[in-house]
Amino acid sequence: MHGEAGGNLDVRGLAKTYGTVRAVDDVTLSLAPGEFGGLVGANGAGKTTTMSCVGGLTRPDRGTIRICGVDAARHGVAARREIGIASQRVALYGGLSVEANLRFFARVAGGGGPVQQTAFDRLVSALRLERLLKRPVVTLSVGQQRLVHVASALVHHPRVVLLDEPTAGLDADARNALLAWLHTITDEGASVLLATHHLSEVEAHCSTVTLVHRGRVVAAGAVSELIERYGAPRVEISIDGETVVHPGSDVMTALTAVGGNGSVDAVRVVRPSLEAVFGRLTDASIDAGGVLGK
Amino acid sequence: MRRITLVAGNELRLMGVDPTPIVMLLVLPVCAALLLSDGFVGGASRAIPGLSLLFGLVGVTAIGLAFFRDHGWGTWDRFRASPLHHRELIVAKVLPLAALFLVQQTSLLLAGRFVLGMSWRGSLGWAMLLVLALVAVEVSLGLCLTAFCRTINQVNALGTIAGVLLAGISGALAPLDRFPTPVQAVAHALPPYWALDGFHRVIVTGEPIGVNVAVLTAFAVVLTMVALWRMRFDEPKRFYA
Repeated sequence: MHGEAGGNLDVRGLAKTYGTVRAVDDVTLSLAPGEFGGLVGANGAGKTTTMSCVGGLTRPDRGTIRICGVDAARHGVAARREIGIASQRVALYGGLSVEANLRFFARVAGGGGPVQQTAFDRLVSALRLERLLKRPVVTLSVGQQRLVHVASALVHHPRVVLLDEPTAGLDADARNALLAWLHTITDEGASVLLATHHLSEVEAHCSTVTLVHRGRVVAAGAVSELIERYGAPRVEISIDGETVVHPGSDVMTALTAVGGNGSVDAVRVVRPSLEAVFGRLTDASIDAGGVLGK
Repeated sequence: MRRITLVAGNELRLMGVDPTPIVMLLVLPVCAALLLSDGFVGGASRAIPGLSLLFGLVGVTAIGLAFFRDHGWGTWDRFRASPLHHRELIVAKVLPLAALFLVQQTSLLLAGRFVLGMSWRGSLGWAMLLVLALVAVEVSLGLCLTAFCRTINQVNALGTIAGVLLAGISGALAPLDRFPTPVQAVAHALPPYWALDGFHRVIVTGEPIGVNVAVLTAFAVVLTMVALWRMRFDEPKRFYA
């Protein structure tokens, strides 16, 4: 993900400053076709600004953005044709029905052409929106509105999907349906960039991740590689009711190290998580649910 | 063109859901004309042009609302992230309202002529050109309002106050010759004066109004250029503030 050119998305040296605040500083990332990438950081880390720059909503001070090989700065319209973006804030016409919203935004994002009915039906079915289609958006719950909002960024089947906290406020069923659909479209060649501070979600669903902290990329790569590289596995050995911790993942080495005194009740290899990696790299606090704090 | 039609169609759909602009721009002016015409000095031949100007100028807030509403719903950023060109978005947003302004002016003239018995001595062709030029001015004023205001409250306040002032100072509510000389001089520098003068000529005296149409068109071009120069598509606008 990090720094590989020639994919659906190629961002290099991105920088954006608001007044004296450097929101994004030299961010480089890329997404290959079919890649499901996470963009992880605490609040204010620069995730949303990065998404906004890539989505054409914010003009970066520096850096290049190529969408499916198209330079977004020089050919913005052509680049935006390939993007589906769902920002954090729900953006729908409250007085119109769900179906009217989805069809309208599909046509706007698709450049005004007709909506592909089969593709539309697939998305609606996958996200279980059938029973909501005729309802005005204002009558939906907050979570339902969020799901429709995200759906409206996917409905024209873009090759690059940018989602900023898309699962916030969704119930478990809706979240699972959405994430399953994101896997479906990546299997079909789309690239998804998921900005979130839910590390557990990234670990479970993304193949690659870019960790950002105070506007800068602190680590990037395959999720498993990052955990391997920066995580610290440990062996926990329970001896006579007391737990002894030994670094590393080799059980025999750990048992040898603690010696032969006492009876071993249990041995457990604790694998590091993305949370641990992020915490180690940034000193960020992470709550019990795997959500980043400051 | 397809994209303009798409967004303009959506604007009409939104008007169907919330017909406030239709009521504000079409129903209220005709009702006001029917109720108030007799009270104007000179009757319908002065009331109809005056009310056309008043409701047209105050109605430019509807253009601001059409833009700010999308900022309020967050849908403005969806447009910005789409392949739409900025000019397409402006035209698509303005087109349905321009059509409403056109229907407003036409319906007032028709109500004046056929319901209130307003005299008519001029050419219908000149009248239509005048109406088109006036609509262009109203649209350009609406774009200026959108470009310069940052909150919907500014749009409402500035649009209403400026609309009433512009209409009043140009003689829409009372004959201009009753105003002090400096005010009359200022009026000549404002587009509503040229519209009102044009209406007077086409309705009452039957004179050609080429100059009036030309001046209004020039105002519309300049105001549109100012609005486009000032308009920032990435500028945050507050719908409630």
